[in-house]
Amino acid sequence: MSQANVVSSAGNITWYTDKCEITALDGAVTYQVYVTALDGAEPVGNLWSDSVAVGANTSAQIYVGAGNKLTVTGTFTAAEIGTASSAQAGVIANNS
Amino acid sequence: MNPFYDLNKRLAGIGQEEKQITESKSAPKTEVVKTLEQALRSDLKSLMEDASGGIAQGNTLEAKTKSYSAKNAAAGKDIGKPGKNFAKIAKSSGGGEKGKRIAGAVLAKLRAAHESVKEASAEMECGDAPMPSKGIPGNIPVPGKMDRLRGKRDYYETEEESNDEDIMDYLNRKLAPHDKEQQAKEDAVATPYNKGTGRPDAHNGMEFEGNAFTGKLKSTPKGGSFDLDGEEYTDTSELDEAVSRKHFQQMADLLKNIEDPAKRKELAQHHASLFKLANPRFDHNKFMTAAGCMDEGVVGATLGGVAGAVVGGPVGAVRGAMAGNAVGNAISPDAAPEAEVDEGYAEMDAWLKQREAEKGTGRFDKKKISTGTVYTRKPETFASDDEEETGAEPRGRGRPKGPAKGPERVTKGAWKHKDGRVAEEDEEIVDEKAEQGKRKFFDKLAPAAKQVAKVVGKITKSDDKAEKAGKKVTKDIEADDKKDRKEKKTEGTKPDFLDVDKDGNKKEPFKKAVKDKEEKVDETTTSGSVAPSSAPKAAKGGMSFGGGIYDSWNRAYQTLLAESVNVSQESAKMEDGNEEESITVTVTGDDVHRFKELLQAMGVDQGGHDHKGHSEEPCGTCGGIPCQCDELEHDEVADEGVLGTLGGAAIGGALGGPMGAAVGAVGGQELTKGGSGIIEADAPVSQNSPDYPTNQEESDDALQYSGGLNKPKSTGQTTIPVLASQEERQMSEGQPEKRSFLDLYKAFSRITK
Repeated sequence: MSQANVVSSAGNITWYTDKCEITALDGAVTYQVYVTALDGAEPVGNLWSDSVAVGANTSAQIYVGAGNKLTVTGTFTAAEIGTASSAQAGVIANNS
Repeated sequence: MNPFYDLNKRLAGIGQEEKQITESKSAPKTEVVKTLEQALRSDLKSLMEDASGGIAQGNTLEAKTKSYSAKNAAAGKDIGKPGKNFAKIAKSSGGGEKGKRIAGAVLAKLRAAHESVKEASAEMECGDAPMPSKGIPGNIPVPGKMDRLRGKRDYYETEEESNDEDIMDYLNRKLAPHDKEQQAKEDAVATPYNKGTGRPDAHNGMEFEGNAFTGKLKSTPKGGSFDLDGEEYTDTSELDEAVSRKHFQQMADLLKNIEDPAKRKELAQHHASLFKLANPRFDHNKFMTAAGCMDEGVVGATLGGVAGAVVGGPVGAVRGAMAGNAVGNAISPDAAPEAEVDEGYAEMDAWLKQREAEKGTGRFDKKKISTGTVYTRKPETFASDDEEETGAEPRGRGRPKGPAKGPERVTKGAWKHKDGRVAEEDEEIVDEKAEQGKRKFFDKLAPAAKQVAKVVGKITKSDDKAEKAGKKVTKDIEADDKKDRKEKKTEGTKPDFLDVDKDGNKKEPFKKAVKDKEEKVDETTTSGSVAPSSAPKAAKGGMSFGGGIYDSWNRAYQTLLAESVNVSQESAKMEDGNEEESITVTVTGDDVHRFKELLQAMGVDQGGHDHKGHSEEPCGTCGGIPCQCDELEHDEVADEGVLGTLGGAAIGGALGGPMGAAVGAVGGQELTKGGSGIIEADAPVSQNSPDYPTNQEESDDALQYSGGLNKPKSTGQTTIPVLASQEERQMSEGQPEKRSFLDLYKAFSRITK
């Protein structure tokens, strides 16, 4: 199994796995997922009506969706978990 | 500790004691003793020198003193001086036994003097110069050490002749038989110190006290003169005889004759002040009274004393006199500064003595303690004789009853009594009690009164609504009926074409019809409007208190009001001249349910909670697909809105078709909102309201709340983040109402089609 990517800053970055583990460090962090659409269609928009919070010094495993864009604010680490969705496996490279 | 410390201390103490003893021995002698010793010493020396044959024979004092020894006398020797021996004394004093006794007395006197002088001489010798003691072994006599004494002896020798003779003559004279004539002669030439033979005198000035001057002065009257040693002395000492009572009386008699009282008083006070200085026992009051000047202080003191004596006995008399004096002085500032109350004090002393005497007579409790005896005076009410005096009312427990209280005194200027405050307070108390009684009474009546008020309010409210609806309808008619515009400018001329009062007369003025309708309010319905529901509304917030036993009555009363079905029939003349009838059925209470079922059976959508479940048609109430009525809270006010809208739509539809129905629905909704505003306050929450949001804290993640937004709540319910597509989860409170209104409008539109 390949090493999972870990990021400490995520501003509308494309996520390549289905899920993400966000670990908030000192303070609470918020995240939002921007849902894209297949094949260059108009994006759907934000997954959540409001940004979701992760408490300080806690971690949460969230669904992002391969090909969607993740935005996390605060001090955190976000690690890719899971695998790329098979349904989108062939299109991410074309549309990202 | 130094072991020698204690020893040294003791030795030092012993030394100190010895020093003290020595000092006490060498205490200073008085002048008299010194003089006596001097005289005796000189006499004795002369005698000793005579007896021993003079100092030329060269012996010590001890050798000389042996001349008075009984040994020599027993040996037949005359131990007296040569030429002045005792045989001579005995012979000169009459011879025989008498002469011997006299000579013996002289010898005894000389011996006594000799014994005392022996010590004095020793002291004198030792005191003049340190002499080596004979008792100390190894003391070698120093040649020439007595030369100094020899010199003294020379001194004595110079006066030896005359002194010796004088003393012996003196003794002889004293021992001579008393002869009055001779005594008189001798006294005539005697010195002031020494008298004649057989008279006491002062030997060497020791037996005489005082002097000539003092004696003369003593025997001289005040202001007199006396002679002493050729000089005349005058007694210039002041007259120290104090002014006495008779002088006071004399002065008072003089003053009494002065006619002018002011002058008399002035002089009396002047003299009184002088007398007071001269004699501390001077009685100011008596003097002033005797002088005919009764000042206010005296009068006050007298009256006060009398009153005090009546009320409180001797002590009271004294205090009364003092108080009276003070009052009198206050009346007359120039009066005596202090009235004499000596007599009062005397009485008080007597009374105190009497109290002391009463001890042990049963009026006191006697208790012996370690330091003595304690007497505690019993209360006088326990005394048997006092009981007889006081009327013998049995003494009860607790605090003794005082005299009956009179009306409260009003103190001028006191805050308590300012501006009749006491009366106001009393009134306030009475008012407060009355208010309490009223409150209790109304608390009991409150539930029933509330119900009555509700019913009346509903009736009035419904009337108002009906009237407003009627007016609105009338205005619409006015807009359509241009022919009658002029006649319809005033309400009073509007015809009652709706027959509001249902009397069949549609031409009477509308106002009159409304009035008639109000009189017939018991019939409940009016034309042109739908009777609002009179069903009891659910309590809106808050809590009710004081229901108690009236609950059952309330329930019965509410049931009576609620379970009713009212049917009103209306007919209206349309523009085309046709009459259109309408029937309004008002169902309240439990009949609503049954009526709904009936309507449902008839296939009529009654607009109630007809949940469609998962059907594709929108819900008749909320308009949601599926029905979201569970998420919406409907209350009685909303029902009122429905009914109002229905009524408005019905009237509008009847009058003006679909457009009129829409307008009527809006009007009915607004009307109902206005009515419901009274019941459900839409006023902004003030700080005094319990729902005022005091916690103004904000946070980005809201994690301070139960579990946070994406954490399980304390109840175990999970909080799932809201998806952007979940609009129903993102609605604010205001949106469902709009949607509900829109849905209602749609539903009513379908009904009216």
